[in-house]
Amino acid sequence: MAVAHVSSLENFRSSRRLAELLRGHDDIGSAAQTTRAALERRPEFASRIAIWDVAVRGLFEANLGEAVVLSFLRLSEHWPAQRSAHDLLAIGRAVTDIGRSAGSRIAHAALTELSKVLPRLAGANEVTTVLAALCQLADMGPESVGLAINRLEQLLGHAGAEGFSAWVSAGLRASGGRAAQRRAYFGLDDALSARLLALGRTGDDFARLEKRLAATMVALWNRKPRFRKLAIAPTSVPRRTSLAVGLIGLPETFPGFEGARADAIYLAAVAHAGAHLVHSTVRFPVGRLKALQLALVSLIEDARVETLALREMPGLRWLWLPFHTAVPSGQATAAGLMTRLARALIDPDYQDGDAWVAKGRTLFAAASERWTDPAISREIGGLLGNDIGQMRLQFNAKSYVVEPAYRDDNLALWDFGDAPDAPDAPTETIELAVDSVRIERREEAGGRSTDETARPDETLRARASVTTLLDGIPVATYPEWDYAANTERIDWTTILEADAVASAKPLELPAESEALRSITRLTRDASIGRRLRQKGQREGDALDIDAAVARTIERRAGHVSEPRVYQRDAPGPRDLAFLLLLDLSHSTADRDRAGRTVLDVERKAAAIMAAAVETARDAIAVHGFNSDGRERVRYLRIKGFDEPMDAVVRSRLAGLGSSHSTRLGAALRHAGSYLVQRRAFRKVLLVLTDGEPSDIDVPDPQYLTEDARRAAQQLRRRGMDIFAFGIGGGHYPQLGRIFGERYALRVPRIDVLPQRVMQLYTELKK
Amino acid sequence: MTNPALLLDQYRILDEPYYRPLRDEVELFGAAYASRMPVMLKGPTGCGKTRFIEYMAWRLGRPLITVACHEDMTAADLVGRWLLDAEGTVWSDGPLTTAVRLGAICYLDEIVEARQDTTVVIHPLTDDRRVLPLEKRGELIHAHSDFQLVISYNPGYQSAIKDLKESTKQRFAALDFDYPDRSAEVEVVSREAGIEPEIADLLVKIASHSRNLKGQGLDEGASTRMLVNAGRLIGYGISLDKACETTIVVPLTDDADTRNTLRDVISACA
Repeated sequence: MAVAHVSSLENFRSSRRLAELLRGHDDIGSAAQTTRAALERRPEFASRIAIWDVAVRGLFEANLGEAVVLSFLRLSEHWPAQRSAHDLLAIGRAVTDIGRSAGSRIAHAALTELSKVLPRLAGANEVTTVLAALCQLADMGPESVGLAINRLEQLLGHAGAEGFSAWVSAGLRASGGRAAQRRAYFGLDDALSARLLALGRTGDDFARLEKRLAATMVALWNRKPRFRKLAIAPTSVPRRTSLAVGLIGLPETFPGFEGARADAIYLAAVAHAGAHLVHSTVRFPVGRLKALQLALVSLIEDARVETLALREMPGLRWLWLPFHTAVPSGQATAAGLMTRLARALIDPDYQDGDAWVAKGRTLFAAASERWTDPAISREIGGLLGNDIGQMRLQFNAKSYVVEPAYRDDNLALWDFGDAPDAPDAPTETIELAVDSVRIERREEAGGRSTDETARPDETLRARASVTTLLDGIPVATYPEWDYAANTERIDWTTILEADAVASAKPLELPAESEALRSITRLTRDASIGRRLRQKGQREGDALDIDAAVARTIERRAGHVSEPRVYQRDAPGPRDLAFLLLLDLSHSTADRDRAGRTVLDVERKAAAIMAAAVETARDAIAVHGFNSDGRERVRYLRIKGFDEPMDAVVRSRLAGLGSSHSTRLGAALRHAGSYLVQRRAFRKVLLVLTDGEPSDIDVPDPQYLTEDARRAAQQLRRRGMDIFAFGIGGGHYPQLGRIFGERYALRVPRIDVLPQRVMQLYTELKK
Repeated sequence: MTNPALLLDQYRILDEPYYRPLRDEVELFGAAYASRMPVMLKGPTGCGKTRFIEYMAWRLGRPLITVACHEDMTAADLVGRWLLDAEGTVWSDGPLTTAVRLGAICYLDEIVEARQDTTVVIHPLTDDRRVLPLEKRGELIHAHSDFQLVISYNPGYQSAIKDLKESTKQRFAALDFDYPDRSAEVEVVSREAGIEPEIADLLVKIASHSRNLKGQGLDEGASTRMLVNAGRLIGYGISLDKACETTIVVPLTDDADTRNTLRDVISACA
């Protein structure tokens, strides 16, 4: 039993060290010994007791006060038997770290809150995930960790451990090292924060499903509305689908519906919206109707269009029914009865003893001859509304929300006329209508392009007018890859696009430069394009039967002829599109030993490449970028694909300057969007840069590298060829990581450019 | 098969093919054949063009020589070529030449798939000359009086590369085909697949929804032929969703989103 002997010796020594440390602190000392003795008797701790000692010593030595140590001892003593001992020790270490960064009060709060949320964190590694997020937050934003800890239970209940961790790292990144922004984010005062928290778990369901939903709408209903993403507003009333002329707004996520259920509710919502588009042919005047009546008429109209849809497509019932979960019990409130009625009208098997629900059912069934007439919704809804009024049931227009969740807000059914201004309109109605309008407005004011399909929309244009002169027009938002969290951050970067400013004097390009001559030759002779079949060749991959027969005949006839009996695939017409993307960040102003800046080399290379490629009659565009945080990725158009390489373009090249940072991934995605639109057999994106991506709001240098790498991979998958020329003397280890070693070529001086261009063409030919 | 009559017999259609007329195409084609006018059958894939020409060949009592055109097809594949045997060279007629010599209906299926220079060989046959020059053989064949040329053409491929030359197009009378209307398509599917009209009706409903997706993820919606295939599987006891998956969803597209949309359509209709 040598092992046991050794471990018990260790145990003895460890215990003695702890006791020595705690000497003089009798309260803690005796409590520690008691807890220790209790833990020693538990098998899962027996081999770890020395580590536990270290954890307690750490807490004590961090000088966080007796309360923290005692609190940890209490947690240890009551540590549930089924929980891993490892988690307890991790909590000890994490609290020590948090205490060191944020102080003992926060450390104590952390212990208290952690012990509360413990039952929630039952999954493998959930405790460690949460602890790691808290430690990261304590380290990078000590003033904010308390805010997160105080709400820990709520946050975890909402987002889960993984979601919480993603939310924390997103917040650290979004606030870019500014404490005030961090406080707003972690105090949930920030709209982005609430949104990310809601998204944390499910991701952006709308973005994921949009294409499928649009196709489903076309397939089922043969209607082609545009889809618009509605951001989740931090209101108490959940978001519903919203219809407008030619437009369907869908919440970016339906909270509470995840995975397969998320797919189902979006499909149900789109099927329902389509039923409205096809069957809700008139708009009801609001007139003097009260909110309750509006809601009831809408409810009947919902049932009417669904019934009509089910006649044509009975399978839709199985899409909609699962969301009707109302049961014939509970307190009879107006809203409760209405969800029961909604179910009763669509679910023939549903039993409900309530007289009002039964009356609604009877009225609706009795109108079956006239189901195609929207007027019945108005009639039945009106009758049922009167009954509810007589039953004296409360109806709160402010908190009312259409149920089940797949149904839309039904505002599109109503003709509000000038209701909000009309003096005699009932106040309730106005509130309902105005509230909904208010939500729309706020969204537009605060929203960074939540509407991707309708870009550039009015909001963008309005905001653009302020920034146009300096930065360009916001034209697009792109996601960014967070390698640490393994997620895409939706709409994370905003591209501001503008034409490059021309300088008075065009860039001078020695017409007879050796580099230009050799690159022109190279590009002209390079054969990259479709392959064509050539027959009757001297050599080739396959026998050309016709030629072979003809040659044999000639030979037998005694003629001597050339043995052209093969066919082969040969290059066809040129069909290549190039996009040069120039890095215009501040570091491109660095000079080499000869006094040339990186930017000088870049623009000269761009001028030569553009001139040469144009001579070869391929299309080439030259764009540039730099960035100033994720909201301002500036993208300059220097030469369009169809612009000639003339003095104007050379003036723009001459007018380029170096400033700000390098958010490469966003620029790559935007450049890719230009290339995608080109019709060409090969599409080549060539980045001229001086090194690694960086930006002011990103502390982790690896983050943007990994994002750019992902962007490059995604573009390759879409059929583009991507290369990078590392300009200047540096080594640029990141370039290989981002683009792949074979595609990242070093161009220290302009005179090696021809060689590199040749390498590029060699790769293209493969 | 040196005997021309025997050679032709293999191209004869003996049993009446099932064909349900859409409009007056049978009458029109009959008149066109009477004057030996070249005919072009236009319409989406799987709507019954080939079945129609088989039916007409049977009705007119003419042999039918069908050539499925493909992009590697050369003029020699149509008109014929010299081959070698022990004696020396022998000429072998291509399918078009056979039809021209012996008086069959020659049906060039999906003509746009063939290279444009290939299709030019049919030009002398499609005007009042009605001749086929075999330049490799130094022969000029005057078409048999029963010969007729029919091509099919799917306008769904709207690409500049895959369109007929104007000079080819204008030589033909054209019959426009489309999927039959609902009741007719139900009749066709139910008869061809041997299934109950109710199931056929469901399949037709699914197809009409899928045709909405043309140009929105699909190049073509589900064809009548696909529905017949689905119906046949159902006839063998396969469930509706599996049959549709196998004969409609998977063949139509490889795009995961579009496949899901089609599945949504199927479950919405069922």
